[in-house]
Amino acid sequence: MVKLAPGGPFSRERAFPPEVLKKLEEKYDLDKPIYTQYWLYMKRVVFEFDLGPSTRYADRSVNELIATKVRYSMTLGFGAMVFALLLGITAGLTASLNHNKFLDYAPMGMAMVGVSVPDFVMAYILMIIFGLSLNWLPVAGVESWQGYVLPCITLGFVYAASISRLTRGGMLEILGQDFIRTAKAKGLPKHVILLRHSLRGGLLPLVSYLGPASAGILTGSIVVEEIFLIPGIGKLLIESATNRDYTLALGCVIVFALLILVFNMVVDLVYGFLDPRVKYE
Amino acid sequence: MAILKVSDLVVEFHTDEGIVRAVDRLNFELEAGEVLGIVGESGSGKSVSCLTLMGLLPIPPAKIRSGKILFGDNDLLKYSNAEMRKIRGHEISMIFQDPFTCLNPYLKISTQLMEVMEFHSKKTPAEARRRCLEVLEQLGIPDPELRFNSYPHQLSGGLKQRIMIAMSLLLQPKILIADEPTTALDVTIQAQILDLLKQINKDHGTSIILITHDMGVVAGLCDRVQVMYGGRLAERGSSDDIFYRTRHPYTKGLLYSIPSLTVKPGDRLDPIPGAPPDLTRVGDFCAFADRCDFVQEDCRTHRPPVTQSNEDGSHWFECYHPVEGEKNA
Repeated sequence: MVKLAPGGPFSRERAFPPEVLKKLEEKYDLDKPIYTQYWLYMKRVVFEFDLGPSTRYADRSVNELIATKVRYSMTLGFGAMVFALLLGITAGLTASLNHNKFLDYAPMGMAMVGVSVPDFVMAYILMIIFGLSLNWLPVAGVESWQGYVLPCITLGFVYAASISRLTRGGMLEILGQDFIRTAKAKGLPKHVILLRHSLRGGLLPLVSYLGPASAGILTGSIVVEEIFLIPGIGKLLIESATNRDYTLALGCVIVFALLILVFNMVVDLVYGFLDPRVKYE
Repeated sequence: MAILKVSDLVVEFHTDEGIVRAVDRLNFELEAGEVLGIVGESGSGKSVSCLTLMGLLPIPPAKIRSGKILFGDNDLLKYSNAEMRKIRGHEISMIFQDPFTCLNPYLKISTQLMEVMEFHSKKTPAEARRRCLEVLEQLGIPDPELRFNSYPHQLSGGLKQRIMIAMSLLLQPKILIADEPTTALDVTIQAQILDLLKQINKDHGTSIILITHDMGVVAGLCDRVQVMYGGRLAERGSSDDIFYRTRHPYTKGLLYSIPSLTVKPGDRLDPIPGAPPDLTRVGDFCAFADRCDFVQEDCRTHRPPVTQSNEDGSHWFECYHPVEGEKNA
C-alpha cells in the first residue's frame, strides 16, 4: 500500500542523475518486481528481525532509527496511561460510591467533556492555559520531564474519561450484587467490602478496555507527538510517510502492530488472572 | 424467653409513586431455640422486616418510621453502624435465597469463610481454618478440604447453599435468619437443606427465622408460624394452630391454594382472587379487605385489632370476621 502513493524515496526537486538513481534502486532492491520486494522484505523481517535500511537516511537502519525514538514514545504513552488510570479510576470510584449525588454528577460531567473534546483541541487549550498564560510548563519539546506533562495529559484525558465511566459502571453493577449484601450481612467493614469484594469485579470491564485503549494511545501519540514536537515513533512515522521512506514507514507500522498485539495479549492474561471463572487450558 | 422482640415496626420506602409502607406496625417475638416461620406472598414485608433486623435496609430509599427491635435488652435500631457490624454475622447471621449469586465469584471459598472470623474473633488464621473445616464437616460437605480451596463456580447449588450456611454458623450466632433458603434449589436438595437447618436448631439451640412462601416447608420445620400480609401480621400461632385452627381468611386462602395429593387431575386449585395490595395506598383498614370473601363494612373503615384466639395467648390474628377454626386443612 505504501508503494501505491505517487513518488518514490528518490524523487526530489533536484533529480539524481539516472545512473545514480539506478545504483540506489539496486541497493534497496527497488528495481525488482514488487512481489520479489515483498518476499525479500518479509524474509528479512521475520527471520532476522531486520526492518531493513532506511531509504531516506543513508547508512542508518530502520531498527536503529526506531530504537532511538522509541524511548520518547514509550515515556509519553506510559505517562498518558498512568495519568488516565489514576484520574479515571479515582473519578469512577468517587462517582460510584456517591451514586446520584453531586460527587457522581461532577466527575461524570467532566468525563462527558473529556470524551467529546478531540485531543488536538485539548492540546492547544492546555498549551494556552499552562504554557502561555501561566507559563508553568513548556509547550513543546522534551528537554526536561516537564515537557511530558502537557502531552501526557492531552493524550490521557480522553482515556481517563472513558476509564472513569467504565469504572463507575462496573462498580455500580458489582455493588448491587447479592454477594455484596452477603458481605454486609457478614458484618465486614466497609473498606473490606470495597477492596476485597467489589474492586476486582468492578474493574474487569476496565481491564478489557485497556487493550484497545493502549492501541488508541499509540495512534493518538502520532498526533500528539506532532503537536508537541516530541521526536517519537509517531513523528517518525509521519515523516517517513511524507518522505516515501518505504522501509521506515513499514517498520513503524510493524512496531505499532506488534505493540497492540502484545497489549491485547497481556490484557487477556490479566483478565484470566482476575476472574477465576476464565481459565486458559 | 424471647431473645428478639420487634414492636410497632414501621418501614417505608420513598419512591416516585409515593410512600410505600412495606412494614406496617409489626409486632413479633422470637423465642430462644425456636424455629419461627414467616409466610406470605411477595411484597408482604417478610424480607424487609428481616433486613431491618440485620440493619441491611438501603436507607434511603427505605426509612424506619418507628418501632423497636429489642435484642436482649438493647434496641438494635439505636445501634450505630459500627455496633451493628459487630452484631451481623456474629450474633445474628443471615442466609439468602440464591446461593448462585450470593457468593463472591472472584474469591475462594476459604477467603469468604475465613473473613467472617477475621473481623469478629481473635482466632489465629490456623484456628480459623480449623474451625471452618470443622463446620464444613458438620454440615456433611464431602471432601471439605477440596471445597475449602475451590471457587464458587466449581460447586453445585446445594453445596453453595451449604457453604452459605456454614458461613453463617462459624461463630455460633444466636439467631439465624434464612430468607427463602431453598427457593433456588432442586427439590431433593431442598429437603437436605431443610433437614440441615432443623439439625442446627436442635444441636446448637440456634433460633431460626425461616422466611418462605412454601407452606410445606413451614409445616415440616417450624415451631411457630406467622403469616404476613401487606406489611402486617395477619395471623400467628403454632404450626398446628395455623394449619388446623386457621382463623384469618388470608391464611385459609393460602392453605387452599396448595396442591395436594387428593386433588384429581383437571381439578382447579383455589387461588386467592385479586392481586397483592398496592402498599402506597393501604391506610387505616384491613389490607386484605379487597380480596376477602368475608369482607364487611367495618373491614374497610378500621384496621382490625389484634385478637387472641386461645386462652394462653399463643394464637393471634388481625381480623374482624375470622373463619371458624377446626374446619380447614
